[in-house]
Amino acid sequence: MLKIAVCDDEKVITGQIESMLLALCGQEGIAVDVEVFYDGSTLERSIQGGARYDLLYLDIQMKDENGITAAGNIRKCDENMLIIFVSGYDKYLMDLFRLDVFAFIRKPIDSSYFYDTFMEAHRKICSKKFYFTFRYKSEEYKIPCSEILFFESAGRQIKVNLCDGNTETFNGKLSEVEAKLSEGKVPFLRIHQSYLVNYHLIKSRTKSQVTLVNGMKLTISEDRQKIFSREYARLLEREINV
Amino acid sequence: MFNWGRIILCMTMTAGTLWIIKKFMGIFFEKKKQKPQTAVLWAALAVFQFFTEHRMSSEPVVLILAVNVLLILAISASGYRRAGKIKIFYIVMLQVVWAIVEMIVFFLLKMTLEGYHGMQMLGSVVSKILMIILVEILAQFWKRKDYANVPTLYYISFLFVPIGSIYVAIHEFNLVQNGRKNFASMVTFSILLLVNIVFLAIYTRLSENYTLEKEKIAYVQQMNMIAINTREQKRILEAFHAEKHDAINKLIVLRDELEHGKRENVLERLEKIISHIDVSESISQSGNSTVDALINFKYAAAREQGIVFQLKIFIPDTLPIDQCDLGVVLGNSLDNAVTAAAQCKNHEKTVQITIGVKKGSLVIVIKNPYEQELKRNKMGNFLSTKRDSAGHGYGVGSIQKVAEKYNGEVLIETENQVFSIMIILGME
Repeated sequence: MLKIAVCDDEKVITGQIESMLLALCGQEGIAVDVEVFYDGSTLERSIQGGARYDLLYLDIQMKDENGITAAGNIRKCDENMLIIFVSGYDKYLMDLFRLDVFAFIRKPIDSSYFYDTFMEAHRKICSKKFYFTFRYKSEEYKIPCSEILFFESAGRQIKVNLCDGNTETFNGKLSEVEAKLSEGKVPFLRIHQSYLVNYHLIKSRTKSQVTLVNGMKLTISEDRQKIFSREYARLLEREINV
Repeated sequence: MFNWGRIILCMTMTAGTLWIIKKFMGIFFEKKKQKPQTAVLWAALAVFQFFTEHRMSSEPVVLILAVNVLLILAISASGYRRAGKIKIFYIVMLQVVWAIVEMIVFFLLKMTLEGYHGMQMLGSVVSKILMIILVEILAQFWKRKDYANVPTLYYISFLFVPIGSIYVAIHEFNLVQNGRKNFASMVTFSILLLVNIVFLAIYTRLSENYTLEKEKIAYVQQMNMIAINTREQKRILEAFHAEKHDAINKLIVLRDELEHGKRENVLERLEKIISHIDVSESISQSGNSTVDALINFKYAAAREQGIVFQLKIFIPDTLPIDQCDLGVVLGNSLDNAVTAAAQCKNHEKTVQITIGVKKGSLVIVIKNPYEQELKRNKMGNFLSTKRDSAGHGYGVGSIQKVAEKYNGEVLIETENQVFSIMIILGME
């Protein structure tokens, strides 16, 4: 079940988005639950109270509070939710882009663009439900790929560094893990003989190192810089193209 | 038996030589971070110098010179920052001037102290002292700046001067060694020395001028950027005023029709106004004035060639990127895309522009169809297919330079007759 929140102070817009979503999901056979909010603070309270959504359509300019502030507060509670900004406004502030926005939709809403972004968001949300499985000491382990920051080889063992700061260990080769994950939906990039990094959890990069969302910096080895750049660029292109 | 006195003297001489070279490179090149390779190369040079000093050069002068130049070049390559061509010129110049100074010293000593068995050592000491003084003087007068290189043709003719003079000098010196004592030889050596020093000065002056020239071009680009911006602002303002004037007229008509109950007419007219507003506005309205001005400006020309722009731009109204750099990147890549698309006969002339901000970087992707064959050089870089390609100094190369400045990247791909350039600029 896909959980979607729509927040806009104009009822015409929320109604339009809701009906477009329902029609779309009906057509594509996606189970969906859409909840509508008419102001940012109600939405914030709901999320602070523990409600979780996979996707949020948020108006940038609302009467009581602007979308940027609301999104900032929401991000403090939930880092995973995809946010799509809806706006009739033709200027965006830099602050907006620091919030990890999935896409922008301009009013009046273009239905084919709306369809494309939704499908891309749906694909991304589904990819969060992919798991990485491994065996260690005859026990089977299962970790969501989206929780894995990076794999690190240490001798014959592989350390799995997770978002929450914990690590898991199992026996294996990094190249095998890389091959196994290359078929998956979550892109992992080999930046070093001993690092395999989750693309989605890279915050920024320079030529020779990547910074992860938790602030950790990892070196890109010289011989892999070129291939890494190319792969990274392709993934970036896909992201701006939603 | 070792002659300890001689060994100590040779070591002192070697130290002097290294000091001169280091000081000289410090004047003209910028030092890089210390690397182990550099230290190894310095050590190699020291050993080589020590042995040539110790054995008193029974090998031909040219060979010693060549090894010296190569070793110093290797040191400069690993330890100093400057274009390779410039390094070669200055290092060859140093070696040639040095060799000529040594020859003059030997010649003078030979004239005055014929038969003195310590002459070679004395000559070496004296020429080194002279070189130290020369380099010190240079260091006092030379204020290092990062000058650009001069065009290749000039460069080669400049390089000919030291190489030519060393040939003449060696020839002359061989005559002297074979016993010729002639005042004319002294004159030759002096002239060669003077010519080389003068050329060193001229070369530096010339590259200074070329740097200024390049800066001027950059400045012109900046002016262009501002001009485009201003023109765009003016156009928008004019369009706005025209629209305002029109709007009043249209509203009056609407009111009139409403009063007379012509509902259908009113709806039709409103429909027209709404669709018209969409058309009359600029194609790019991302909210970032630099990007919008540039794209709208380029589109105005492209539209006349039947080219369609498809845009998907979501960026902040202000970017932490210099507007001229942005102008260079967008302007050049759009020019290339438009030129290539305009020549297409079998493809739709569509230029796709996608710009976004992700992971702390500005990402620009421009795609266009192409039918003309692409030319690449040996390095795999694309060459301009424009007829006066030498004049296009600001193509992909300048985009690459900007990308480097912002810790970014330029990627070019061609697939199914679609050329795509992707530029990533870091913003952190």
